[in-house]
Amino acid sequence: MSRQLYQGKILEHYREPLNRGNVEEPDLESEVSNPHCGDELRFTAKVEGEGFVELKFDGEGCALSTASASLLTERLSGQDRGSVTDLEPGEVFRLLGVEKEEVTPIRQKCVLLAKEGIEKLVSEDDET
Amino acid sequence: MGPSELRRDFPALQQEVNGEPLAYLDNAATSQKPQSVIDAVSEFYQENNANVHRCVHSLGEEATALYDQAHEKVADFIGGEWDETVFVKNATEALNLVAYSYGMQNLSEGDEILLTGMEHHSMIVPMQQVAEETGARLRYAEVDGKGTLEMEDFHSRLSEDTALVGATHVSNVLGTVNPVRELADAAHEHGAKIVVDGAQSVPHMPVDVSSLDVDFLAFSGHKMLGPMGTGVLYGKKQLLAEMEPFLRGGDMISQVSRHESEWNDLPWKFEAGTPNVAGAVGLSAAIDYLEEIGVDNINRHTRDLGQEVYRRLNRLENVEVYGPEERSGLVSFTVEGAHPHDLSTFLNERGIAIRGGHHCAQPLAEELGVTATARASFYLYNTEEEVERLINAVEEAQEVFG
Repeated sequence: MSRQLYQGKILEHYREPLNRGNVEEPDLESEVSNPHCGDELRFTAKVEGEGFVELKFDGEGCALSTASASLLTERLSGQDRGSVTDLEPGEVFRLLGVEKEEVTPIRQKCVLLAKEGIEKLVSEDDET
Repeated sequence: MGPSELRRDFPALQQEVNGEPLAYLDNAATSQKPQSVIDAVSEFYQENNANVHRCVHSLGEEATALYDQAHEKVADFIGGEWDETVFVKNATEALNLVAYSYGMQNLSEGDEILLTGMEHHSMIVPMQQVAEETGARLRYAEVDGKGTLEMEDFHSRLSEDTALVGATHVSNVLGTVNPVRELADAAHEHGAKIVVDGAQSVPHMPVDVSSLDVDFLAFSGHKMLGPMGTGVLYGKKQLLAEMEPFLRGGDMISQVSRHESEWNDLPWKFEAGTPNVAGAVGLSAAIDYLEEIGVDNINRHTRDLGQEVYRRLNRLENVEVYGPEERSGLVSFTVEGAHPHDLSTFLNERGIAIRGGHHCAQPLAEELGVTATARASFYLYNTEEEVERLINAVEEAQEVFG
């Protein structure tokens, strides 16, 4: 069932993640954590109209959550804020170059942490 | 018989994981079971299953005999008496029993509880509650940079206010073996009792409660080849006799009327409701198996493996190992650039089962300056070959994650 995860996109984006850092004077901020893994991710964004103009992540996490944050922030930069909720979980895995079933359930949470973080960014803004 | 022959007795070890033979190195979490233990449990259900005590029909008498014998067997194993061994579901429940039935009843404001900095949550969390509810003060004896208990610090924190000392015999993170007799003597000199967490020691080395002079000893049946849902609390008879029950209900009473009840004798006073008789029967069979190999031999074997892994991992540049060289058969370590969960997944891809995380010792992890470590823990059926595979995989991980 499981294959060798630590290669290709996952390793690439773990070693050199894109969009790592903090947006200056962000419009939106969120923090998420995965207590099982000790992953802690912080997202900051600048928006213009409906779209993300800048989207960055910071924090500490395992290879899966880091790679996912890197790829997801890259994918969603310049996109509509709402597009993160439209993103199917399966697609997040495919961004990493794997299928959901190839990752054990406990590690799936690591992969989806970034999606959760960006969704939180968006929903917190909707509440204000 | 060496581990390569012994492993044939363990059905779960015969499988492959991700195309490789399973190397099960997570024994500190739970141990695999020999066929004889599995058979004992099945046979109980097939032939002897009935509820125990005060049972006149044949099946009930047989089940009762098996259950009572299990108490005797466990008691012999640790050098205690059969009515000083209480069967519980795990070491955690055993420690909770001490906290509720001894701690809450006997401690009060002004008293102190002394734990070590390397305790498991199952010791820490119940004692936090004892402190909160009784007003007693909770203190910790420090662990030094090598991962051993700072004995001077321990001794200096004992006073006439100390009522209870809680200490692990073997640390499930560091592999450190604590000098329990010395800790017990020190506790007693100050009028305190000592409760020892034997979860990682009793399965691995000869433990004699009178030589150690412990007041309470908690351990898990499932970590010593026994079924899950089995654990034991040993307590000195006099203490257990004076303690109020923990859980209440059937079996732990001798008389019940509407408004009051009288307690049963030991150990039944602490075993409320229908017990895990099948589990106890399995634990009996587990002890038979361990005694046939010899716990001394198991101790030597697991320590050798643990120390070898310690030395070889220590030599690797990007690997940090925690705890002293002189240790029990487990090693916690980190690989630079590799989160312990990624390391665990990486090793799992190669058929090797280890554990990553805080190992239910968050305060210790904080002292060590880590959020998580990877841990390999060995038992009687682990082999040199598995050690090779582990080291090779960690070396490979260094390349991939470094």
